[in-house]
Amino acid sequence: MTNKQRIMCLAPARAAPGMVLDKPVYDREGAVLLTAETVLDPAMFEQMIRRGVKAILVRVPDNRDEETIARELVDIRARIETIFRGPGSAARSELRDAVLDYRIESSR
Amino acid sequence: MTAPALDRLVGYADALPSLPEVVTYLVRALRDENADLETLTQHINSDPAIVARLLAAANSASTGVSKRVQSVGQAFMLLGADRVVNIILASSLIYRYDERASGFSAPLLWRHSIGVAICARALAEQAGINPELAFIGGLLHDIGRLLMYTASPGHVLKALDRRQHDDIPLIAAERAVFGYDHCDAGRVLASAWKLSPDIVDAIAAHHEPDGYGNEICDLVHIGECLCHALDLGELQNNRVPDLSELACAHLGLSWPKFASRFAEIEARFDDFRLALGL
Repeated sequence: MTNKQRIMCLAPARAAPGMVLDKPVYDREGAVLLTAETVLDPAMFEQMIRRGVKAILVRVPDNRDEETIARELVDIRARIETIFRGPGSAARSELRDAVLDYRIESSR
Repeated sequence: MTAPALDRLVGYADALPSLPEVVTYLVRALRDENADLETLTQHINSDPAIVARLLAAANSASTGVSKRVQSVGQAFMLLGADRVVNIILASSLIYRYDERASGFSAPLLWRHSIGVAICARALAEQAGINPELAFIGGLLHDIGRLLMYTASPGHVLKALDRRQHDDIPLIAAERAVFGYDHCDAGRVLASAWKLSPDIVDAIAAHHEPDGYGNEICDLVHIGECLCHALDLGELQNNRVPDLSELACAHLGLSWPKFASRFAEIEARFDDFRLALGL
């Protein structure tokens, strides 16, 4: 078992106490609500929700082995191929590449 | 039996429940900068069913607010006006039009529509265009499908079969069966409901926005493609529709840049699904 961590994007209501913020949280006016590296507690969830925070980036332990990660990447590529099947504009191809990069990045 | 002609479709609009009064008001109020919170609250309070659903959504697990929300005024304070308005719009539509049959499911259609609404809203925020109008356009973009189903459920199921069997876009299958598609039908219903011209166009043009020169059309069209691309709403046979180069150019959209908002869009979608029980 390694101490590898992965970054996940969650709605504040989905986060759990003890998770660590990877990026600072801003409110709707752009003021810093919580700084990076803050360890979350339940009072903070409520504060974020009240201030209209939609999503936060947290670090969680990553227990996946290399084989699992590789398998996930194969599935991701296959899914993108499937939903983007058939011909389309250059803009559609750009969208496909952006979604593929995003999925690969999020699975690492 | 042949499918009902487009010019006869409006006759079936009466068979659909009309839009709740508060929804028509909200759509108008969103365009009116002078609309105040107090009047808005009064209108919402005039429909007890809507108040009940708003409070239920406000108190649902997804909002995470520990104090119970007991009034519309409190909901505005805790959730913010945008969120309250969007919850009301979405929940009143979803509960009023709850058609389910084999092959056709209104809840599934609403789940997709919420996805498109959230995508269109995020795109509007990025482009500096009225995000609430974009949200409404997205929410209502597929209402033509409801009207076609009301007019002739058998032909709708036939079109869905054809899409599945031939793996073709839904609008192509609809045109083959009906001679028109749900964008045309949507224009008919949106006009019958006297929605604003922007929204009527956005509904009519969400698959082919070129030539309209209307930002809301572009936003709803791109929102539709993005919703499919992000797989929001677990659609059967999901396929990303063709994306207009022109619409993307109008909004000055760069996908590599906009990708930084994908995670937020997914989180907002999850949040809405939970709040509305979809």
